[in-house]
Amino acid sequence: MKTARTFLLLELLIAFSLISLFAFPLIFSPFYRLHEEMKSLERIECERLCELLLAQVQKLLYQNAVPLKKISSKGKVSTLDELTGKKWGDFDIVFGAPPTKQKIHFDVLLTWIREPVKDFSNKECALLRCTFATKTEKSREEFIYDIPVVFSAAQGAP
Amino acid sequence: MRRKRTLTLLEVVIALTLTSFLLTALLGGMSRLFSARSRLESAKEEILAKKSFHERLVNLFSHTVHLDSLEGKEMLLYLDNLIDKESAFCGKAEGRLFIQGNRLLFLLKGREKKEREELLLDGVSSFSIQFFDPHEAAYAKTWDKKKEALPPFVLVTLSAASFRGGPTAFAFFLPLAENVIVITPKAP
Repeated sequence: MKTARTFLLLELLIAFSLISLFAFPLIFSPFYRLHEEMKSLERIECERLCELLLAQVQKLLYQNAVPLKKISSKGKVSTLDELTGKKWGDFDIVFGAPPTKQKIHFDVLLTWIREPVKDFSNKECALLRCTFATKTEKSREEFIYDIPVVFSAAQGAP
Repeated sequence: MRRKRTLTLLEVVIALTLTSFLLTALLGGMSRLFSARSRLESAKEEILAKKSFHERLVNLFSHTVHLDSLEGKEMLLYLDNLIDKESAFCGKAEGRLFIQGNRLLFLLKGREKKEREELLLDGVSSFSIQFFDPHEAAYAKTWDKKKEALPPFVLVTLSAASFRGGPTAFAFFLPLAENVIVITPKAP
């Protein structure tokens, strides 16, 4: 009578390798989805912070505290830190339970989208592009806002 | 008759070792997954609460044609409400944003003395509003309806039970305000 053949060690090793191969994606795909979800939550939080930062930038512009003359011509980008000599765009955010503290830094980049030109009412109008760029743990994001600016005669165009 | 070959002790030990490695990795991964999931859920709840509050106020400010405030704690919004599900609130309406107890409420007054109260946020422990005055280039605690223009933006800072990180600030830009920045020369 022919006896039943038992498994060889090699066969067992192949079986374990295959199980590992298929089991790990099962674990890592939820991790990937969590990562993606966290990234989208971070983006939502960044949008709120960018609006706060935009308010700060607009306040500086209203106060005439940004030397716009130093912003190079169209296509060249200047940072708000360089222009004002101060550091901008740092935020501490705390969320979740247990509370997780996270630092977020935005580079504030300014560039002319439309350089100052005289309009029909002889005012000099321009369009300033304000880009907030951040690199979080999960991704790199950019938020873009265009700010219309009018120069009164005495200030003159940059 | 040929004798049936069984697994040797060494083979069984190797198999058990491999199984234990596999199980340790899987269970460790599962446990990390569950803790990450619970952290994410609490963060998600908080961030989405902020987003929904922000979106509701963005919607209110987008219809605001005039503003009035009382000591930076209460705000009267004169709205052009366009179309509403209730005819009494269509078109021009007056709204009041205020704190009652620890609840941030919005009371909309429509025609025929109809009123609609909406809970914007619960568990609010502090609340303040600042209005940006473009002429002064600074924030003001109050805004008078008599001022012809709307502030270009409003800063709302509040502490609420659902925002665990402490006081949270929101900036709201009013689309019906004069949003062109006029840069005036500095005094020599």
